[in-house]
Amino acid sequence: MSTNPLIQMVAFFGRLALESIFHLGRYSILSLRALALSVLPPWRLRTLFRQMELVGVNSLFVVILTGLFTGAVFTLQVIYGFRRFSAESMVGPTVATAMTRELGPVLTSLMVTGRVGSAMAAELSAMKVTEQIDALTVMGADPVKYLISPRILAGIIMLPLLTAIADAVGVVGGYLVAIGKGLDPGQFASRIEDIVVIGDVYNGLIKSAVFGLILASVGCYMGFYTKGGAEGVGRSTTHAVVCSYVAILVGDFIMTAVMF
Amino acid sequence: MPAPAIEIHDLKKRYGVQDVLKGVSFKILPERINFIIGRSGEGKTVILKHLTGLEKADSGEIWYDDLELSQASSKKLRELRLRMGLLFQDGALFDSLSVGENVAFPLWFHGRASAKVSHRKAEELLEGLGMAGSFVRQVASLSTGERKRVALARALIMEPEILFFDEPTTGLDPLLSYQVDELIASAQKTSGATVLVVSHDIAATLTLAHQVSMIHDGRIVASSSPAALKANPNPEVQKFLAGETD
Ligand SMILES: Nc1ncnc2c1ncn2[C@@H]1O[C@H](COP(=O)(O)OP(=O)(O)O)[C@@H](O)[C@H]1O
Ligand SMILES: [Mg+2]
Repeated sequence: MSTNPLIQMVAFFGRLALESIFHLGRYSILSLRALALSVLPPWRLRTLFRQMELVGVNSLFVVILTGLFTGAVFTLQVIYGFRRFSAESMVGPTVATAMTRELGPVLTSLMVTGRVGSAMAAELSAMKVTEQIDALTVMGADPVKYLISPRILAGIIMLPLLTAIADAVGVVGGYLVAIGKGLDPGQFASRIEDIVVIGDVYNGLIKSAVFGLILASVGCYMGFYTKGGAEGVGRSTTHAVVCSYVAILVGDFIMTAVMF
Repeated sequence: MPAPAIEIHDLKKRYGVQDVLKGVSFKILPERINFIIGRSGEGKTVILKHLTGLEKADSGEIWYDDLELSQASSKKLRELRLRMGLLFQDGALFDSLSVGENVAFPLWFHGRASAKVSHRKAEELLEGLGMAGSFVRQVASLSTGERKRVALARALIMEPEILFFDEPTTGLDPLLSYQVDELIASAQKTSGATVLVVSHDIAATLTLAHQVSMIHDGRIVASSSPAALKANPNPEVQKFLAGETD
């Protein structure tokens, strides 16, 4: 090993780059395999429904809370600004557009990552370190198809549903704040329909399906390749959350640039 | 299909800087009870992981009749695994399932039996292991000895023709050990399976085994009948037989 700091730095970044490429490659292979296997028979619908239930039930409360307060606080800010221009009639449409395009999908996905993505990583890594995944393999049960495929599918299916709920609750939250701030109720609602196009809603839901794919596949990847005891379980859970957050935010930027 | 003949040739495996298997070679007698003995940490579990394809060797070959494991397609490997049962040293029970669901899992998963039949079979096996009425218990509530027996039942339920047991009686009291040994012997007798047991229990080894192989320092240092093992002049073998394990 050289003691030259410049060479050491180059070596460090070289290793970092190599490691990133390794993880990205292994992650892509695992996710693609899980997706491909999920469309091949035999389909285990019970396992899929169980995962959908876990994703939905675990997150519903936190998603509703997030939607409600996001819509509410966003409205507070918007009213303050729009009053100066006597543009109160635009408060409702602005809140609805922001919720459906951006805030609903992104914040829902971040919250679900904390609840569900981390739980998937923890569960799979506990299964890994206690050899349950090896046990499946020896029994001739492909752990990717049996464990990962249903989780990723559940993420893709449930995130748009949860996002739709967050969107709706967010608009309601905004509406309540607007009324509290003395806005005319009709005024808040009347122009939403004119200005918010259905495409905004769809694009937001498509985004959230992609986020669902990201948070479930990253959670499963981190769990599936855990190494080393109980400490490994903790590490993989943290990594799952951090990596999902970054991937969701970067993915959001890319999709937004392409879609709108 | 008749139980296959299994042969290991010059198997080598290194973890990091640690040379665990330095050239392991031995034959497993088909349709017989084979034992592997050796101190803990010698690589007995590692051998089982290689035999089941969970680990890939650095070099060497594992033959199941005329199938070499590292050359086997994933389809062939899967077919082979359907003929295997493995009892993991620590059980490897699914903790999201109940005791009975664990035992019945292989039957259910492969659609080999109706829910009712697999339920009954699982209950029978559990009963034979002194765990009657445990079907609905949670895995987390089991003691070490109970986990071991549930895992044993799960390994047996498909009536596989190749059976690997990693320390089936470690952590059991003498009476239970005896029962488990009896169960292994009778399961082998009725099914004619090829059985490989990893064990520390010298008495059980000498009474049950048709063949005993001892691993020491990454190699098989003896592989013979129990009687021939007792006469083996190798000091490591004699030390182990005298009970100077660790
Ligand atoms: N996956 C692994 N990574 C690193 N070292 C391992 C791994 N599996 C086994 N070992 C090491 O190999 C040696 C043999 O382990 P093992 O086969 O479990 O011993 P035993 O004979 O008691 O079953 C031990 O020193 C263990 O630490
Ligand atoms: Mg062991």
